[in-house]
Amino acid sequence: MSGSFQALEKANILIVDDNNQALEIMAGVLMSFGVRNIVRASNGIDAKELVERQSFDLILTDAQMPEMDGYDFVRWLRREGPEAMRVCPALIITSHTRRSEVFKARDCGANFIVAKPLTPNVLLQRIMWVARSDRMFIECDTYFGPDRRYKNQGPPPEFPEGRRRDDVPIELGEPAEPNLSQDELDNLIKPQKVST
Amino acid sequence: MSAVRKFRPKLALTAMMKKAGDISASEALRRADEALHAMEDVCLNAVDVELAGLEQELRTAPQPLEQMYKRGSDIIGLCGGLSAEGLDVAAHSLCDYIDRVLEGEALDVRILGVHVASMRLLHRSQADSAARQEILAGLAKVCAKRA
Repeated sequence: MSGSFQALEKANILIVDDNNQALEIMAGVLMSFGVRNIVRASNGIDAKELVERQSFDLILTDAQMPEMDGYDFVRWLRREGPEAMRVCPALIITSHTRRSEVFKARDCGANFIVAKPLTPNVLLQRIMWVARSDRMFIECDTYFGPDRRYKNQGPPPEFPEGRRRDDVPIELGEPAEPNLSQDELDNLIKPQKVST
Repeated sequence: MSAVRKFRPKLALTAMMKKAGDISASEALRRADEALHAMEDVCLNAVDVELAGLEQELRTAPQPLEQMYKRGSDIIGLCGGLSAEGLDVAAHSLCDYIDRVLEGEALDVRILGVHVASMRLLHRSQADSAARQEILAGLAKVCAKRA
C-alpha cells in the first residue's frame, strides 16, 4: 500500500460503537493515521443527533448496537440525513452478520462493510478505496447509496488488483478446456420432461 | 417504474487524500500497531470479563442466548487489540451457532460449552499456532457433526 496521510489530520471523523474498548481501538488506529478530529458516539441515536448538528468527512459505525443499529443509522443518513451528509462515506464494521440482516446490510447504503477484528491495514485500505473510488451514487425509491452492482468483467477499473481473493483478473488467459461442441451446446438448452 | 438518479458525489475526503503528506502508509501502519499493542492489557481484561460472563450464562437455564451472542460479538471486536490467534474464529463460530439457534435450529447446550471452553483455551494462552489450529479444527468438527 502506498500513500501519505498528513492530509487526514484535517478530516472530521465520526466513530460509533456501543463497546467502549472497540471505540478506543478504532480511535487509536485512526489517530495513528494522523486523524485529529474524532467524535465518538455509543449508539445510532446519538450518532444521528451529531450528524444533524455538524458535518463529517467519514463515518465508521459498528453494525450491532441497541436502540438503533449501524445499518439503520446509515439508511437514515442516506435517506433522511442533512443534505450535505447524505453522500458522506460510511463504513460499517461488524463482528458477525446475522442471517436475518444480510439484506439489510446490502440495502442500507454503506460504502463498505468491514469485518472485525479490525486491523489497521484493512481499515487504511478501505479509507483509501472510499476516497479514491469513482463509484456512482444511485438514488431511487428503494435505494440510496453507492452503486452495488459489479458486472462480472473482472475487478472494477479503480481497483485493478481486485477487491476479493477470487476476483477474476481483467486480462483473461487462454481457456482451460476446449470449447463445447455444438451437440453439447444443444443439449444445454434441450427441453426436457419434468418427472413429478 | 420509478426514476433513478445516478451521480458522482464530490467528497472532501477525496480532496484530502490527494494532497501529499509527511506520514507514509507503512509509517501509519507501524504507529497503529504500536497503538494497538498499548491497548493489549485493556483488551485482555475485557475478554476475561466476557468469558467469565459466558461461563456463568452457560450454567443458567435457559441460557440467555442474545446476551451470549453479544458477548461473542464483543470478543471478536476486542481481538483487534490482541494477538490471540484463533480467538476471534471461535467467537465468530459461537455467534454463528447462536444465530442458527435463534433462527430455529434446536439448541444443544454442549455445543455452547465447547465454544466457551475453546475460547478459554485460546485466551491468554502460550499455545503455538499449530496447537491453536488443532483447537479450532476440533471445534469445527463438533459444529459440523451437529449441523
